[in-house]
Amino acid sequence: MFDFIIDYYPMFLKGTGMTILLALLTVFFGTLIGVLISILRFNNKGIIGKTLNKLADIYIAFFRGTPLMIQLFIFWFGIPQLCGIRLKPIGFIPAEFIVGAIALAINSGAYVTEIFRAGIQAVEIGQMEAGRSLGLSEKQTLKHIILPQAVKNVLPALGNEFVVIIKESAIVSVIGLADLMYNADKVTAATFNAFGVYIVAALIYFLLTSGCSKLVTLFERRLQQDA
Amino acid sequence: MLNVKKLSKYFHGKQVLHEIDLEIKEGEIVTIIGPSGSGKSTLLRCLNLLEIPESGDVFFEGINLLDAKTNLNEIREQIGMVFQSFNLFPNKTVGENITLALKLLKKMNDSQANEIAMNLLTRVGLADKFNMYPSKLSGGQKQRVAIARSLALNPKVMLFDEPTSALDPEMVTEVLDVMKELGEAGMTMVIVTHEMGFARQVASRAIFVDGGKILEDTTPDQLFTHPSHQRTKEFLAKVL
Ligand SMILES: Nc1ncnc2c1ncn2[C@@H]1O[C@H](COP(=O)(O)OP(=O)(O)OP(=O)(O)O)[C@@H](O)[C@H]1O
Ligand SMILES: [Mg+2]
Repeated sequence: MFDFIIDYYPMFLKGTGMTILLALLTVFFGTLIGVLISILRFNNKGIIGKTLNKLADIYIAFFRGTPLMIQLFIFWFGIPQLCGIRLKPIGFIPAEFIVGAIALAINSGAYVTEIFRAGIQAVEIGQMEAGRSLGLSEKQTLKHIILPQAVKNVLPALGNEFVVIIKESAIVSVIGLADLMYNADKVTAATFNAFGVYIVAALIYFLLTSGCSKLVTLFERRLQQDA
Repeated sequence: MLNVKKLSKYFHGKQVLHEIDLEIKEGEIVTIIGPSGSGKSTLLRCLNLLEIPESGDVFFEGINLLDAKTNLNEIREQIGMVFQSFNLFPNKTVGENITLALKLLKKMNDSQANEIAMNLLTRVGLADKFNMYPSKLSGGQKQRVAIARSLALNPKVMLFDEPTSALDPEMVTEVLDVMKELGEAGMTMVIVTHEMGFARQVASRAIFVDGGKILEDTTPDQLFTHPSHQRTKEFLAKVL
């Protein structure tokens, strides 16, 4: 049932590599977006602060409240059509990859922002009060007291988000990005062995996600030891 | 030193402090007692503007804290505060808890700040805990560290909000002893407490708050033996 592996293992390897690369980029840029927006959100004074906060709220609500597939199609079909442009590869990087990574990162950024918000809120109010009563400014208290604790609070949820990204990234196969899912489809078409091929693909995804979980747990333990 | 004028505070439209007038002089040890929900904590927290009153004024050495031009952080350096729930920084060691403000605000280097922290920890009997994290300490030890932390910047007055209420009974004394020594060293203190014995023994002045108003403001002896209000009598009958 699994003898197709002998002929097609390079397809699985390439697809897996692509999935890992895409997940890493998404994690990196998604977290970056999440951090930037979280910082931006601290300033909710004045018209600019309030407007930016409102925009951040809309961004989070939209990307968490609509299917990733639709978001991907908007980036892949909708925006190019609206702007009347044709997507082209940049150097040797295919357009599918660029668009897929951008869509995933922007989507993940919304979740990460929300994770950070919860993590910051979970730090006891007394911590801010203790900092302020010592004469530290709000910024100093955030930087030295609140955020280090928030980061620790956030790690389990952030780790979970990384696992989700690995799985959800499979959706980019629909725009033709040759990730693990896409290549599995191709092998299925060539071998007519849907069961065997998708079981193998599922196993690889499972190895990736459980490996990622393990890494996150290890990292968390490290941090726990520091305090 | 601290001067409160016609201070009113509302929470969600409900008035919890009614035009409070209060003056605290240098060297005084003022204890604030009163029933739960009477506004003791709120009053104390208005003294360093952790709560912002809706009307009235708070002066520290003649400077109006509510004046937009006042640098509140500079004032707060001079007003120490100790909380019921300690509020130590759990991600920092005992030593770092104390040195943080020294380094950030006084721009001290490690050795200067550590020396001060060590002296303060010695004073509260915890010199051996310098490198420990707060989670490894007992409640009484945590509160003593918190006191040391708020003493680091050499404040002119210390505010205590029920510093022993979260402690197991056997740890109350060690904290009260530290506070007593502080008072003997001449520190100006405002203490919200349910420890009536301590209030009576250590305080130079006792204030009874009820329903967001100061009903009595007198000597501890007078308050405990000859309360002038019915409400005070009822309260004392319950807690003594
Ligand atoms: N942050 C807040 N939001 C809304 N209401 C509050 C807040 N803090 C205090 N209150 C209300 O204000 C009133 C006074 O509260 P405060 O904490 O000052 O009382 P207290 O005398 O310190 O009581 P306790 O002895 O229980 O500590 C209470 O009715 C309380 O419910
Ligand atoms: Mg209180």
